[in-house]
Amino acid sequence: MKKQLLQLLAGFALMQPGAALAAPLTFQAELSHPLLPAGEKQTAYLKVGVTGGITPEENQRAAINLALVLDRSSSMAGDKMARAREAAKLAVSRLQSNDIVSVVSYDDVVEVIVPATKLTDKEAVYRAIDALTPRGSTALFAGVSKGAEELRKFKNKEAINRVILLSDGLANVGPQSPSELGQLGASLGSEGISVTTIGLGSGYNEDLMNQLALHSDGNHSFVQTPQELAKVFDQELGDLLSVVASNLTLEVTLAEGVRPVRALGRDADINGQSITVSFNQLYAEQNKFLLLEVETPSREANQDLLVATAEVKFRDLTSQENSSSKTRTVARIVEDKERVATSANREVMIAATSFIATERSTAAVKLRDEGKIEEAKIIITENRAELARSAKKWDSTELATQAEYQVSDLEEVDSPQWEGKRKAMIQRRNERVSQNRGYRSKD
Amino acid sequence: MQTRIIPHYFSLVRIRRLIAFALMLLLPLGFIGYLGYEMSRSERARTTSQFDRLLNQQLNDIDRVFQDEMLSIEQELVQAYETANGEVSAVESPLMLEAFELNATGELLLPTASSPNTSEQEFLRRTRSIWQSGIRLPTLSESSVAVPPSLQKVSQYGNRIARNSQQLRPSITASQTGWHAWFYSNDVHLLHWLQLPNGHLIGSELNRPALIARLIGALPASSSLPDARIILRSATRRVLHQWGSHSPAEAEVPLLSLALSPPLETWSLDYHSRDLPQATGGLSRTVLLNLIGLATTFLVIALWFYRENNRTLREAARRVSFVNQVSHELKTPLTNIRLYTEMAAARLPDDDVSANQSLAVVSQETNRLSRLINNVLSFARSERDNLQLHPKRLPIGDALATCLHHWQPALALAGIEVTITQDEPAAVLADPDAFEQIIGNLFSNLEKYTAQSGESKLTVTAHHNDIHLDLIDQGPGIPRNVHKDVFTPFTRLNSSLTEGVSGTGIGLSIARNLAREMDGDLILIPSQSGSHFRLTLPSATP
Repeated sequence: MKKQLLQLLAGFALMQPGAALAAPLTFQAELSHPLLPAGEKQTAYLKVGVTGGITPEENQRAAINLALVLDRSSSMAGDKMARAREAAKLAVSRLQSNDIVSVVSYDDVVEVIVPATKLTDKEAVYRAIDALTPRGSTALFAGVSKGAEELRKFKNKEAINRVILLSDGLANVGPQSPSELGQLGASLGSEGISVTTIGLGSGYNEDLMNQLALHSDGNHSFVQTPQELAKVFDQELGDLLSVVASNLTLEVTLAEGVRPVRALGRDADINGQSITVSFNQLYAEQNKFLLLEVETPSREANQDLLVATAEVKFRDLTSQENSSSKTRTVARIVEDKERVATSANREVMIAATSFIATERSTAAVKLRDEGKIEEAKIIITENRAELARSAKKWDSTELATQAEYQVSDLEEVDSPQWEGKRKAMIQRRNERVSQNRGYRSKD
Repeated sequence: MQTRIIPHYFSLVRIRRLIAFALMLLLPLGFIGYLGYEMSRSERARTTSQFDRLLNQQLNDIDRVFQDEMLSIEQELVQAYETANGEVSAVESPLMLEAFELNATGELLLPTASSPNTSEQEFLRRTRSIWQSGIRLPTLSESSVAVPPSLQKVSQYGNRIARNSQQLRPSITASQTGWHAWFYSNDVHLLHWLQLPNGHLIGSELNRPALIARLIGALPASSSLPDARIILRSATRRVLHQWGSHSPAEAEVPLLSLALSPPLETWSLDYHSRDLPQATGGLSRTVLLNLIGLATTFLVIALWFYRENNRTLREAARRVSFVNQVSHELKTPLTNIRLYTEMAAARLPDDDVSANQSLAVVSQETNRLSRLINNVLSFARSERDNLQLHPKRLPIGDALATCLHHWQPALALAGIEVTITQDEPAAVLADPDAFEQIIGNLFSNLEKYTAQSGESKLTVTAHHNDIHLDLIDQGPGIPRNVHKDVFTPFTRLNSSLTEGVSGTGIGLSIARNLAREMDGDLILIPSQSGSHFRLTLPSATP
């Protein structure tokens, strides 16, 4: 019944592509095991997610409140600074006059070079950006703080509030640990401000940039060469222009007897039977979800079991109205264990496998950081084997690719290119966990 | 025989002149220099204290900005508790990490120890030390921040207990609310709490990075501080934020440090500046130029005086030289006059009384003239250190007799009688011409100043290695206060004494110089009446 509902909604969206009143998103909840075995507990995965509808028309989209926070430390000298300026101007050029732009630069200290204003004079903004020259160290924290402050001047529910942070080096002035930046990210995220972090080259701290983006529901990109900066900013702007909903809160209430084990990948707030997660925004055609590991109770066969009810509350940015959607997940208890296995939901299982593999991969990175290379390798090898098995079982190219990455990760674990590799790994992990797709450099 | 090395009169004068000039030059310069230094010092002190006051003000302004921001933050937090409707559950404010509730006795009610929520468990772990110590937050917290009236209308936690502690706006009645700082993971973290009417306490742990970000956002632009830098440091001296265009050197000590007001009292502000007050303080250019001008003027004046002085001296020297020349010129004809006068006197028959008398007068006057000329020449020579004496053994008795014989007519004319007393024969080591000159000058003075006074005694006595010649007269005497002036050349005593007396005023000075040149001396000894001169010369008596 769940699947039918999903298809109906999808069909509805597809049938009426230009309809102004098309739903901004579709809401679905799927259980990995729609058929549960009788008389025993079962570990199952519940995937509750939203999928963005079509990109809104240019004149119908919500206004964007953008703060560009640009690194102008001395390591940005030369091509990097030139490309960064170019990319920033490109981003500004894609905005309209009712969008709001501010530009913040940081080196030893932070400077607001364009205070938040409506974008009526693009040339003035270009000129301010062109005046940026590299000098000094990296007060990244201050840069993000001032950028957020500029956003707050015009912050409102109707606009999409975004900080785009560019850095090529290690933050060395002010709070600079990944956990501190993560806490800042969480705070900004709960204010409705997302921070997209773009790391340029191999000298930046990817954990820091990742934590900031992850906790604020922004994108994270690892850009290898300055030439790609324009494309990265362009892609980010593309995302911003395609936001369909904002301030999303997903609440899953598990039925009595169903035990929540853990939320995979995301930081979800588990309170008894209730699990909540929030997203700042949803892009067109983006699928964002919460993956829960649950344990279903032992029941007698041939009955329905209510597993969970879920609700999503959000703001529809095209209509500028708050909206919500509900769904129920029900499973059926059967006697035949074989049927239980064969009826497993492929997509959910793939997602679950992917997440678990990602977790193991994260553990391997941690070991590698601690210098325990051999142990890291063991985990990666096991991970690869498991992924390969699952890829075959579910016939999934995604899992196969992930397995391939494990191979190359293995090779790189003790190589001098580890820094670059690590950055790519962090980006991939970020994507999988947050479903926010950062820019991908051509490998 | 006392050997005295006395600088010649002229060199003494020269040295004294040099010293005087040096003092005249250096003393004013010294004073000006000192004045300049003092002015500079006080200017610097003033500038420094002004600077310090400015710095203090700037830092206090920043502190106030932070205090205002903390007040807004507190309002938001109280409102967030309000939204949660007394139920501590999902945190609403972006500044909160976790919320908590204590009962009236300070026990932690929420979050519960058995909470399945991982973030709540983390919170309990972090704050364990606070709950275990069993202290009640309100009694702990010193800093009580007043809740402004606008908020009190909104808040249902209207506990109107007035607190008499640090209030930002004293006129507002405060609700029980405050901060609690505790040390965790190498730095200071903040808890905020609010007391409920039922005695319970609700509060939250602050998201520290979010707090720092909010404070950073409230600060003015970096460009407002072009030549300085202010650094915000945590309790562990870590840099939390910095602004200002000046980049301080490694390990540079700040000009001023200020600890922030509560609840941020563990943080501090450091002020660094490019322009140090010592560099900018000191004298203004105009004052310095004026002082230099003054010093230059003094230098010019001193130099002018020196030159004038020199010119005067050169004039004097030229005059002396002229006189010297003249005297020299006069000496030759004078010698001839004396010679021929003596020859004529010798050839004159004794019975031609008037002719003899006339020649005697001529002889006397020529003697006087000769003596005067010798005096001048001696003086000039002594000025130029050209005096050359040839001391030899001179029997006193004979020398004195000869002198007296020459002077007898003149002295008799002046009504002066000189008696010479000599106990035993004595001889001195002296130049005969010089001796004659000395005695002659002394007699000349007798003639000039002690006329009609009767007897003058000249006594010759021997003392150790010297011979003393004491000349005591019955004249008017010399007042005590001018005794030292007597031997000063060109100095004649006040007009009452010298009225109507001719003379050059160098007689005694010459006499003394000559005596000293011969290792003797001429002194004036104080006496009740009359004058008492003593001539000392080294004895040559075997």
